Amino acid sequence: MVKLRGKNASDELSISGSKGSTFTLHNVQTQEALARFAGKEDRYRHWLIEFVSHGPEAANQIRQAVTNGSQEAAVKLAHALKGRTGMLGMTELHSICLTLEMTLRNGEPATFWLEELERSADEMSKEISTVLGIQLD
Amino acid sequence: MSQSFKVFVVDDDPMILDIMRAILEPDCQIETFDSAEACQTRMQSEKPDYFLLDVSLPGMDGYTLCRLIKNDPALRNIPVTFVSGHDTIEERIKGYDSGGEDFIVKPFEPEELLRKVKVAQSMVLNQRSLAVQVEEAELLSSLVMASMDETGILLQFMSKLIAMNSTDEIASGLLELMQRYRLDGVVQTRIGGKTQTLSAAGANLPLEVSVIEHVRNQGRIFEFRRRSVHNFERITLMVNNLPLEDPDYCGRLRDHLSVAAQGVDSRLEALQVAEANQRTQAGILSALDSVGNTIMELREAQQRSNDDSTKMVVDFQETLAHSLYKLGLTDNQEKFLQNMVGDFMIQMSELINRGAETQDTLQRLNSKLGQLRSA
Repeated sequence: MVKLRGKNASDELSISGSKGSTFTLHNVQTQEALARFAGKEDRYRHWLIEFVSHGPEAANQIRQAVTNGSQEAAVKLAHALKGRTGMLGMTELHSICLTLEMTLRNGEPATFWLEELERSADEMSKEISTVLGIQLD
Repeated sequence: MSQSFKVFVVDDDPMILDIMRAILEPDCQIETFDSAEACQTRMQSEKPDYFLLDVSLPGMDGYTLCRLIKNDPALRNIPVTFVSGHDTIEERIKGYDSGGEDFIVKPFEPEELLRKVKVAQSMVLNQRSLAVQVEEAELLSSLVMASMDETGILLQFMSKLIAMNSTDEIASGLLELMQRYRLDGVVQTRIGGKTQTLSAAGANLPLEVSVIEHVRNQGRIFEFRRRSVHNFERITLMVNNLPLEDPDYCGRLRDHLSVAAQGVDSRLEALQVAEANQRTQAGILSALDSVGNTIMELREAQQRSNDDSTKMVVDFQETLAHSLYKLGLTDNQEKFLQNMVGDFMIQMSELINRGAETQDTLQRLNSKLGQLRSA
């Protein structure tokens, strides 16, 4: 799991890239996502950086819910992460969340898609950290 | 879009709220809430023009909040758009059933969101315009209804007026009409040389009479301060408390009172003519009685004259019959006298008979007079 240096992501993360500059992330439609933030790159960067911790944490919470047999909570968490990743332009993660949500909702075995989610969330987290130059512990 | 257009956004994801602010803040007033309950609390003090509701919320969900909004008369006209990650027909039907106006699916494009907001804003503007039109229509309708009611009062008075047969009744009716228009005032009627002034305070009060006498020659309609005077030949109507604060009502009252006063004047004229006719008829009947009596007297006098004449003739005939033999006349002389007396008697009889004919004529004339009187 990626650990941020400070308690609060929005307060204590530092962004190494210069503001207003464009960047690319693998499997992320950054231009479309940036448009959703009305072109405010600082806000987009803020939520991408927030995802560095939030994404893997959310995946972990889903797993915990599944392990605890809280299917409804797991569906809600998957649904929420689906919304978040969709708005951030993370197409692959969005698709995984969508499938996971459907799988959980249908009461089908979700191990495969949970693992896919955890893997993709970790990869996304690392890529964001790399691309945006976030200093992690 | 109008900056005054107020949007309440409910979503438990702070990033979605941040995105909403970024997209909408340049054009709208945005307030964001992370739960339906927080939004509900805010709605107690502030009402938006538009709701953007996430469906999946902790606690109360977006559909339930929408139903609450649509069940509240003060809020039900505010459009609701659901913002949901569920893009299924079932979810859309749920949104529709809960009373929502629109549906937008995450992830959405900013243009789509702006388009939805613009549509909602247009709906709100149309609703307000419609509300203004409805308000205006209701105002117009109430004015028409009020006017109809006022006209109804006038028509009722006019229909009763036809059956009124005295100045007292007419003056009281006119005061009652004024009362129904929430007016007080004075009515003066002038008919057949008789002037009567009446108000709620009583009849012929000196001050009221003097005021009416002052204003009755000031023209058909005369107004001073809160007073309004309607003058006609046989009626003066003075209102003491014109509602000047309501010019429209004042205008309608002028029309109604003018019509009422004119109607009263016509009715009083009719009463005046009827009274004159009654007087004429009474005079004619009296004259007929007098002529009838005279005829009867003539007839009686004629009867007495006939009786006297008959008696005189009979007496003269008897006296002559007893006296002739005392004169020692010759037969020829006696016969000559008897013939002469006989001729005289015949002429007298004819005269007496003519008197009887005169009596018959007088009797017929009297009968005809009797028929005229009884008619």
